[in-house]
Amino acid sequence: MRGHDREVIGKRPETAAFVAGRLTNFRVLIDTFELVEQTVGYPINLPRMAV
Amino acid sequence: MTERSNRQHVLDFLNVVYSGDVEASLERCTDDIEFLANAPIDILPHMGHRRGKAEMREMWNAVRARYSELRCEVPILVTEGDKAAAFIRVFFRKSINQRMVQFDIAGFYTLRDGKISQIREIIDTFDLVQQLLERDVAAILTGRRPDPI
Repeated sequence: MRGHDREVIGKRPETAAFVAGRLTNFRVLIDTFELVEQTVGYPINLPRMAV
Repeated sequence: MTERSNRQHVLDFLNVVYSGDVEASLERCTDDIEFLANAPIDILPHMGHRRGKAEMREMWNAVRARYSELRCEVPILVTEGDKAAAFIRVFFRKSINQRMVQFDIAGFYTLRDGKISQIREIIDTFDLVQQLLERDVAAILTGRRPDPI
């Protein structure tokens, strides 16, 4: 992460569909909760937030 | 076991899972079935790591208790040898207030003798948590005015 000397690591499943050799559909699914916690740098306290 | 039949096994498995039939779902799994879905388990206690049919039964029963209706669409399913990958759109109706939760799952399956032996799921849990809490978590974290969920 620029300016923080910290790596942000995540999984990124992607699907791509082609018709006649050309890309027609591209989907990416990212677990953004994991990325947000790494970006803010602390665990998000969900039970407190749920109250 | 052909890729075509493995594709059908996965489709059958997803159909019974999302019909809510726990025992029929377990019949389609090996005894040493392993499940992993990283998630904030304080809000999603039925997820995480599960091994064996007893733990899977407990997980699926917890899902059935929390959600009164389950439904899924599978727009993409790809199989290669004993592996399958699916893009699944899931609809859960919350038992507590009947509100519908909708999210996507990237599901990865390993099959053995026509049964599911490993499940790995990746979900955008930030989006899911916001729908479950019915709170704009991003607004709380950033201090901006919340958007309606």
